[in-house]
Amino acid sequence: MAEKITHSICVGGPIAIHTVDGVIRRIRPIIFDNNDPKGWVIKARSKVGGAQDAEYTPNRKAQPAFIALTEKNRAYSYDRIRYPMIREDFVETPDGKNRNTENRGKSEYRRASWDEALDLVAREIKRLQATYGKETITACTGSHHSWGLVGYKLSTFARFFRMLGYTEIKDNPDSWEGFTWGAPHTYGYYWRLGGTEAFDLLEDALQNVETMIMWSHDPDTTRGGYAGNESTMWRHWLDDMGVQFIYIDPYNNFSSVKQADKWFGPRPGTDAALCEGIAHVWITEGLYDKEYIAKHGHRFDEWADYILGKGVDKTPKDPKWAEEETGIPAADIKALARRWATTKTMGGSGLRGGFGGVCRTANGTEFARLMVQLFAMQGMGKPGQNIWSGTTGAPMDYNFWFGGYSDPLSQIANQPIADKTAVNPVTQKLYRPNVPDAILDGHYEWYGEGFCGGGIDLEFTEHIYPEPGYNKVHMFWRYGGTFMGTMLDTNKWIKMYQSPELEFVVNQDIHFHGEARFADVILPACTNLERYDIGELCNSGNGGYQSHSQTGNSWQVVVFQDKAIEPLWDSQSDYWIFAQVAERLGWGKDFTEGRTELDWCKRFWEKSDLCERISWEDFTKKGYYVAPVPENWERHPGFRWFAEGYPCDTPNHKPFQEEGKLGTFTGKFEFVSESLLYFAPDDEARTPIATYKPSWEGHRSIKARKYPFHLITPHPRFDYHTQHNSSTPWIWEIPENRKYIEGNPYLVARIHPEKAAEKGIKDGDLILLFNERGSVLCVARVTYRVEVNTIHAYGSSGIYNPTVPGEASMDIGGCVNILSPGKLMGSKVPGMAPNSTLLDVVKYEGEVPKTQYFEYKLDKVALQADPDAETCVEIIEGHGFEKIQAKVKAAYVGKVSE
Amino acid sequence: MANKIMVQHLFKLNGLYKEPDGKVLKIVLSEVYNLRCFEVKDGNLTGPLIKIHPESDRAKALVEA
Repeated sequence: MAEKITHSICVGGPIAIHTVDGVIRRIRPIIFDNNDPKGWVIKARSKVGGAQDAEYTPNRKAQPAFIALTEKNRAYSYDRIRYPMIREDFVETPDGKNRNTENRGKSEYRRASWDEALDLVAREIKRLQATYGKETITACTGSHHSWGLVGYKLSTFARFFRMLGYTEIKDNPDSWEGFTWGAPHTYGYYWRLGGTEAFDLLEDALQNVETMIMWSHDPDTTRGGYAGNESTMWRHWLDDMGVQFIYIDPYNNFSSVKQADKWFGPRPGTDAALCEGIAHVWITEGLYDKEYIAKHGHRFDEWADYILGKGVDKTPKDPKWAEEETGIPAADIKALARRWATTKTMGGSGLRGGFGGVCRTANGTEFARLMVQLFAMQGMGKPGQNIWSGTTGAPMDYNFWFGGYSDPLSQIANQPIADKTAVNPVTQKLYRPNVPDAILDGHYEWYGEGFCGGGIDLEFTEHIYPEPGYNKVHMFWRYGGTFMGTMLDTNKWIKMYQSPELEFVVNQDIHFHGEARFADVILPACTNLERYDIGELCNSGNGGYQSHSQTGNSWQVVVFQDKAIEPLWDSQSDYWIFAQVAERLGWGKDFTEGRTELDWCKRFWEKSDLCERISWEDFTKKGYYVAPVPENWERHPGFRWFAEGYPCDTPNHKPFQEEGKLGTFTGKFEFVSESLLYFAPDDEARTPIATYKPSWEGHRSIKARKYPFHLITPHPRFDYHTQHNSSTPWIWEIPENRKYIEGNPYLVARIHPEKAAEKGIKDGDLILLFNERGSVLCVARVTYRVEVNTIHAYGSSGIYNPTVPGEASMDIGGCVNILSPGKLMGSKVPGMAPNSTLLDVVKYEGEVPKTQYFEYKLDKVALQADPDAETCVEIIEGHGFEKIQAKVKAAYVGKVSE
Repeated sequence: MANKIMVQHLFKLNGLYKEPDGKVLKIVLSEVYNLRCFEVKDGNLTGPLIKIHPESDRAKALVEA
């Protein structure tokens, strides 16, 4: 009965896990003890009515998001892949033909042993590479389906596939497209993929800011990315000081209803018009920092002429014009502009200052550029004037280094963690949003490198598939998560999976997500809680695209991710799975370098500053390490160097910044982009002068006559990408999330009361969202919190539940990205725009699907393996969960007593 | 801050530098006021992380390899 406490970390933050007799009993936040360091102290203004000065310091605990606290439910989830599985009608033909690929998604599965599944995978790899070459295999990961430097996608997965040789799939920056492809052309920061630098801006805000502009930003929902609820307290402090919060979002989001002094709900996709309307007020009323712009702006007057109606379109972008586009009254736009300009104002879009749903629209690049221009007009970098969205910029010891996931120094694929770096010999690539197009058409061309942090020119490199001299892809290994709920027009993924072009498909995952059911072989991985790993909260990699992202935390916490329980059922760690396949391919020892997962964890300790701070024994015993912030920490406020004209002193900067220059061609804020004039002067989506352009799928397009509603699918509140919500029925009990009706958890979609009345829809009705790309059945939430033309439903559903399995039929799982357009932002802008989706909605009056469609395949295999197995519905509804724990406990106690 | 120039940019990130004793270091990371290096032996990064302040005597003794 001894209770064991271990620690781990997931995308929602660090956690402590209590286990008794081999089963998880409780998960809670990590509470710091007296041996952990003191927190930083910021001296600033007091609360309204308080003393002259006040001190602000964080609570003495890590503050994970609520999803992290549901890891127990997720570990024993109904949709765990319990055993290796092989598609029942898969035929291992010697030439890869006639394998019933058209049945992928329809076929059921049979249980296989690990040896049978792994031997088959190894045989197919050998056959395919011998027939077509190494490039015939492609593989792709979901983003952040697990946390930890050993198990992360850029570590174990990358090591295996680079050693194997494969066609790499380049990720697109799907969370903040517009900022990546737009903002660098105005202010540089391509090495941060368009994001700004927020170093030490929390202190600046607490001391100076008077107004916060939260544009397309719901920080309590998106939590600074991976920072849990660490920054929630900061925004409360600001609120208590009397700082005014203005939220701009077609959805009066959860942070807004809690905090906003004013909410503006623009028509989706028209935010750039609102930017122009604000600029018009500032220019005509002289409400901008003329001295700053004269010194730091490039070709400002030409842009100002365009705003004033002296450009080619002869249309002043005045508030009345902006009202026509956005639906926001002109008087409100004027008031917003004046408040912004006459008070010290900070703000930003999305979870880290430069993200957010607006960036994921057809006009996202132009919004991002205009937003940077607006902050430049108010003297960006001066005290209390900056792009900062209240989720980053806490004090931090910049001289303590522990690797983050995107840091090449912190991946087992590379030295110095590995003895030898794994190098992929294949240069052919695919581009993630268009993988189905490439496979189905056999040809695809695109621009850019996905993540273009190496230089602004990389946005314009040309790619062609298949690359000259290479063969096409015939095998797909899908690892973690599902794109059915996160990519675009996702019914086309079904067609791809059913194509005979893909002779063999492997899926490796923890849960039976949307894409697993299309695989020939399914390999069950275990959760973070069932294996060893090591990681730091919110560290995406110093030197990476979000350098020092840990400033989104109040505390810098490195966690030893101890194994809390043994892998459940037949699941194994991802590392074990890849090592086993490598062994069968003849290079197992090269892959592992003789190391266990625990050995790799120790490598991260010994190759970082961590080994100077705490011994391996003490670290693994305590389970975590908190890096102290020196009492007089070095302040390097973001952008202050530029505003005040001294050499850049912020971390992760470029040499030209030491000359006081930005990363644009001119080193200034470019109101006419010289880089676009040079690389893409005819780009229809990103013109040299950033302008509002009505969306190619928006209220001014012809399609709006047929599909009058505008869907927005923001980053989810109850998920992290496709993790958690799909596998955690506890969360379905939240009425704003899902509603469980006859075996299916329907996703909530929000509609304005006026439109609901027109359609005869009442709160709680089933409603069908549909357009020419597909249909998704949701449950209606009738609320004034949405702009009148908008349907709001969170993206990233991990549940995909088509009523006719294997066909592009009505989905009842909530994969609203089935409806989003596959079109990229522009011919030279390879960003996706899921928030530029038109659709219609009707009250659903058909028969409610009565069968639990989505996991019967798992039940069949589970019952084959154990006639007393818990079915999915039993687990969802409660009793199966307890039964699983009782069985695991009995096995554990039996083993211990032996 | 104006008087604190980030001298680590006198060194090239990912550049190889030789110490007086012949040891070759690769600068893999430059934090605010520290160069982070690993020793290079036979083309491979080896040993623990080495921290060098860019204004230190050790830094001044480095020559490009």
